[in-house]
Amino acid sequence: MTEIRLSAIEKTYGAQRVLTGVDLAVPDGAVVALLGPSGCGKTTLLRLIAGFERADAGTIVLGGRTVEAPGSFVPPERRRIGYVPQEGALFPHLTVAGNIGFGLRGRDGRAERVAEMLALVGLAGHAGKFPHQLSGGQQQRVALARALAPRPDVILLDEPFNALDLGLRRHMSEEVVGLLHRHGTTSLLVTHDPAEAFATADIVAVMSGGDIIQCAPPVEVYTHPASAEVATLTGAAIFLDATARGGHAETALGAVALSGSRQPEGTRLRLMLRPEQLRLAATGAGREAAVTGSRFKGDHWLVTVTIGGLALDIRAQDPPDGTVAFVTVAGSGTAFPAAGTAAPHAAA
Amino acid sequence: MPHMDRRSLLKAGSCMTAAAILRHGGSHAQAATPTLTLYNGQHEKTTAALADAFTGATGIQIAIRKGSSSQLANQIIEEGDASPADVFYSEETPPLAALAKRALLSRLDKETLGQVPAAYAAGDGTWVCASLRSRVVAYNKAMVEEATLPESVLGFADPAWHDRVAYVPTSGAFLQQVVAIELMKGRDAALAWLRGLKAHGRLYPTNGAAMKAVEAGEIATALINNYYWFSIAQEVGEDNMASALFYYRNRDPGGLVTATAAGVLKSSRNQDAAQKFVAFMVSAGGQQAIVDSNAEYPVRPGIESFFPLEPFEDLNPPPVGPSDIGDAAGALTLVREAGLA
Amino acid sequence: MGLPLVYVGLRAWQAGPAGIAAELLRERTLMLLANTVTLAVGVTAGACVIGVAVAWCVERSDLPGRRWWRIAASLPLAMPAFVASYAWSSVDVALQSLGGAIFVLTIVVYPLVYLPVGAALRGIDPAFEDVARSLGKGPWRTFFTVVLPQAWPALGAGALLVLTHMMAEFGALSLLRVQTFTTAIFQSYELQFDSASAALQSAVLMALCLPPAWGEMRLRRRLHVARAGRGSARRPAPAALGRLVAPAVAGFGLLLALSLGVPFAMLAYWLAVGTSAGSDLGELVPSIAGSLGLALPGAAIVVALALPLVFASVRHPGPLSRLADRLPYVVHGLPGIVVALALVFLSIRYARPLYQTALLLFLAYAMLFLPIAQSALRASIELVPPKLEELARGLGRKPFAAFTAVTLPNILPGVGAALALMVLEVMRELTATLMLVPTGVTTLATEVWSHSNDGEFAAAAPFAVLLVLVSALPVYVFTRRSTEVYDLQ
Repeated sequence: MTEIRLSAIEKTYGAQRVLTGVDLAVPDGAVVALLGPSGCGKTTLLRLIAGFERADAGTIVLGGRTVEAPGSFVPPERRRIGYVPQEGALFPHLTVAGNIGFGLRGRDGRAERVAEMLALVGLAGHAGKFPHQLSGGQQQRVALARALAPRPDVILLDEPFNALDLGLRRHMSEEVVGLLHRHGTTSLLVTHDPAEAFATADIVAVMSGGDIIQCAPPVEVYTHPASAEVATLTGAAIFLDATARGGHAETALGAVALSGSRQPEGTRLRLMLRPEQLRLAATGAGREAAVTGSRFKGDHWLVTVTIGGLALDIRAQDPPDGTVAFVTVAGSGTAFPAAGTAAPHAAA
Repeated sequence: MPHMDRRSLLKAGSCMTAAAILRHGGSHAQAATPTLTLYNGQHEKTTAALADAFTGATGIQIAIRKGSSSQLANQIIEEGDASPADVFYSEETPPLAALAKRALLSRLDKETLGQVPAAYAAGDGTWVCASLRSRVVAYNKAMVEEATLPESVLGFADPAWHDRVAYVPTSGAFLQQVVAIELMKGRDAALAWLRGLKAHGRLYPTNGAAMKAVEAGEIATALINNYYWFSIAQEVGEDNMASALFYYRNRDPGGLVTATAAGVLKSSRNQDAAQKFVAFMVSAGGQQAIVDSNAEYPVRPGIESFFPLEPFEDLNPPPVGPSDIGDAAGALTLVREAGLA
Repeated sequence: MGLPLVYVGLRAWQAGPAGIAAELLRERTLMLLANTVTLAVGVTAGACVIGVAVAWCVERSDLPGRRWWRIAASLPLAMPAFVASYAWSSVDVALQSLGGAIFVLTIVVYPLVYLPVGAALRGIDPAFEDVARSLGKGPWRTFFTVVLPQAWPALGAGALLVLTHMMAEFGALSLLRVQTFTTAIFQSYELQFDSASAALQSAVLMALCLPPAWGEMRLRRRLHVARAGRGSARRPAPAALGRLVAPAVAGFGLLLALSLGVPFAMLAYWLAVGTSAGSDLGELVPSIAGSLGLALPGAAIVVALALPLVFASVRHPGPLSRLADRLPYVVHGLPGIVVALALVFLSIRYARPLYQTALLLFLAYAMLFLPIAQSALRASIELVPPKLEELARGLGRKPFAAFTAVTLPNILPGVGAALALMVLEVMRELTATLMLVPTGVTTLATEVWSHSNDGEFAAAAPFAVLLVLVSALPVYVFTRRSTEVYDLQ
C-alpha cells in the first residue's frame, strides 16, 4: 500500500500562514496534481510530504507508515520517496549512470538497475555522458529515472516541466505520467498549469490560500467547480448575472440550464460558463448581439460581441458577416451565489 | 550606486593630485637648490643627522637612497657612467675598495684626506673613513657569565655554544671579521669557523635584531658591533640593561676595528658639492654630528663622543686595517662555500 | 610580461651550464627547496582546513551571529603577512622557526580559501541536497557526496592561490628568520646586488611557482563557468550544530583572537612602549604620502590596463584576446622579488630613463596584480550585455558616447571594487617596492620592514598600525561587495 494521507497540516513562515489545515488522500497508484497559483502553498505541501521541512501541526501517513505527527518525525532519507525538482538538479560531477545509481545501495544488481532505468526513459546509450551534455528534456528524464531507481513508495514532482519550452512540455508530461502509470507508483505532481494537470492526473487537487478547495477527477473539477475561485483557477471562465427561474437561469444570453440542485425561484446568482459553451451564428436562435471586433487567430477567429452591457470574446470558424450576430449557450452552467447573498443549495 | 560614484570620483581626484605631487615634488627639488644624491649604507639616523647638519651649513639638499652597503656598491657598478649617485657613504670599507678597484671614484681633495690619520684613508686617495667601530660580543648577563666566554672569537663555533650565539652573515662587519680570521689564522680556520657557526649558531637577519634578541633574553650571545648596545642603553638606561658588551683586548680577530667610509663617484655631475660633503664628514661639525647620533669612534682627533664609549686606547685590536681587508671578495666566497649564502 | 624570464635566461646564460649546475646542486639550494616547499604546503593545508570549516559554519550551520562572523572571518586579510609576523615574532622566540611561520601565516591567509568556498556554498542550489536526501543519504553523506564536490573548484582555486602566495612570501619569513628562496634571493641581492646565484635561485622559484599558478588559472575559469548557472531563490535550511554550538563559537573567537587580536595587542604594546617610537614620527607623514602616492596612481594604472583586456576577452573572444587574458595570470604567479630583480637588471641595461622612476614600480605592480584587477572587473562587465550598447547606438549615440552613457555607469561598481582592491594590494606590497622605489620615497610598508628588520619593534608600530587601518577599509568594502554580488544571484 503506498497511499498518501494528510490530516490537518499547518505551516507558518514567520508571520505568514502558508498552510491552514490541509487534508488530502491520495489513493494507491494514483497520479494526483496539486494545482494552484504561486504562493498558494503547493510547493510547501510537497516539501512537507518529502520531509524537507517539518509541519507545525497535523499528520502525514505514507503507505500506512506515520512519517510525521506531533512529536515524531521521520527524516527524508528514510521515507522511501522519490523527488524530482523543478530543474532536475542532476549532480554535475557525476555521469548519467552515476546520477541514476546515486540512491542505490550496494554493488549487486546496480548496473542492471541503472540500465533498466535508462531503457525505461529511453536514454539507453547515454550512460557515460555528463549532465551538461544533455538537453533539457533529456535531463528531466534522467532526473525521473534517478528518482525511480530505488523503487520508492511515492514520487513527488515539483513543477517538473517548467524549465522546458512549450512544445516539449506537453510531450514530456504525457510521456512521464504514462511511465508513472505503467510503473504503478503513487505520484504527486505540483503544477500551476491547468491544462497540464488535466492531461496528466487522475485526481486534481486545487489549492488556494493555503488549503485544498476541491479535490476531484479533472472533468469534475472543470465542469463543476466547487467555487468561483476554482473555476478561474482551472480555466477561462465567464460570469454572468442571473436569476433562477423555473429550473433555469435567466441571463442576458437567455435561459441557461443549471447543473446541480434546483435553486429557489427568484434567487439571484452568478452563473459560470466556459468560453467554449458560447456559440455564434449569423441567424437563427439565440440572443442578438452587436459585433464590435474580430481577430484572426490562425485556426479560428475571435469575435468580440456586446450584449446587454457585456463584452464577450467568442470563438468562431468564420469571420462574422455583418454587425449583428446571434449568441447561443450550449450545455449547462454552474451557479454561484451572487455577491452579498447567501450560498445557494450546494451540489454534491 | 551614487555612493560608489562618489568614491570613484574621490579616488580619481586624489590619485591625480598624488601623481601631480610626485612628479612636481621630484622636479621641484632639482629646480630650486642643487641636490646631492647620496647612496647610503650607514644607519639612517646617523646619515640623517649628518645630512641635516650639512644642509644647515651649506644649504645644499641631500636625497638619500637607503640600502645595504655591498648592495649599493654593486648597484653603482651596474649603473656605470649614468649612475645617479654623487656620494657613496658605506658602513664598511670593502665596498669602497671594490669601487676604487674599478676606477669609479674620484680623488678626494688633499685637504679632506689630511684631516684623518693615514691608516684611515685609501692609498690612492679615493675614499676616506668617517667613523670607527669595534666588533664585540654582546651577552645576556643572566644567561652567561663573562668569564665563560671563549678566549678567541673562533671558540664560538664550538658545539658547546650550540644555539647560544647569534651571528649575522649578511653584515659587512661580519664579512670583514671573516677576512681578518683568514689573514691571521688561515683560510681553513676561517672556513671551519663559518661551518661551526652554521651548525651551532642562530642566524639573524640584522645586527639590530640580534642585539634586541640578546637584550630580551632570546639568545645568550651575539657577534655584533659595539654601538647597538649603546642605542638601547640610551633608551632604557645603562643600569637597566640585561646585556653587556665584551671586548677582545688580546689582538684577537674578535676585537677587529672596522670603519665606515665615503667616496665621490667619478660619474657624478656635482663634483664640487660632493667633495664639499665628504670634506664636511671629516670636519669637526660633521664628525660631531656622527658621534653624537651613534656610539661610534671619530676618525678625527680631538672629537669627544656623546656616548660613554670604551676608551679607544684600551681596545687593543688585531693588526688588520681597512687597507689589509681591501674589498673582502674572498670572504664572500668563503661564506658561500660554507653554505651560508 | 615575459621580462623576468628574459632576465633569468640572460643571467643563466652568462653563468654557463657548469655554473648553473654548481649553483643548483648546492646543499644550500636543497635546504631552501625543502623549506620553501614545506612552508607552502603546510600553510596551504592549514588554510584549507580552517577555510572550509569557517565557510561551512558561516554558510550552512545555525551558528549564532553568523552575519557578523561572515564579515569578521575575512578581516585577517587586512593584516599583511609581514605585519602579523612582526607582531608575533616579539611574542615568543619559538615562533621564529618554520613551524612558527606556518602557524602565523595560516591564520592570516585562510580567508583566501574561506571566501571562495563560502561563496560556492552560498550559491549551491538547495535542490541538490533535497534530491540527495530523498535518495536516502543522511545530512553528512549529502554534504560529502553532493555539496563538497560542487565547492571543489572554489577550494582548489583558493588553495592554489595560497600556495603561490606562500612561495612568493618574503617579508614575513625574513622577520621570522625562516630561510626560503625568496629570503635567499634578497640576501644575494643585498650582498651582491645582481648575482648569478640570485638569478638562478629565482629560476628555481619560478619553476616552483608556475605550475600552481597555471592550475589556479584553470580552476578559476571553471569556477566561473559553474556559477553561471541559474541561482535559486531558496536558501537551504541551516544544519543544526546542537551541542557543538559552544565549541564552534569558541573556535571562531579563538581564530579571530589569534589572527587579529594578538597582532593588534602587540602593536598597541609596542606603541605604548619605548621612546624610539617618538623619534621617528617625523617619518610618518612622508611615508603615508609615499604609500598613497604610489597606491592611488598605481591602482588607477593597473585598473586602466585591465579594463581593455577584460573587455576584449568578454566582448570579442578569440585566440589573441584569450592569450592576453591568460598571460597575466601566469606572470602573477611569479614572486615580487623576482619581478623586481628582473626590472632593475633590465632597466639598468636597456631602459635607463626608466631606472629608479615610479613608472618602473608601477610596471611591477601591473605585472603582479593585473589578474586580480581582471577578476574583479570581469564579473561586472559580463553583467552588462552588449545589447545595451547596441540599443544606445540604435538610438543615435556615437560608439564612445554609447559606452560612457550606458556601459560605464553599469560597470562603475565593478571598477570601484577593482580600484579598492588594487589600492589594498599596492599598499601592502613590500618586496618590489623595496627594490624599485625612487630614491628618498618611503612607504608605510617599507618603514615597517626596515624598522622591524632592525629589531626596532616600537618604531615600527605606528607604521604598522596605520597600514592595517588603511587596508581594513578596502577589505571591508570588498568583502561586503563580493557577498552582495553573490546574494544578488
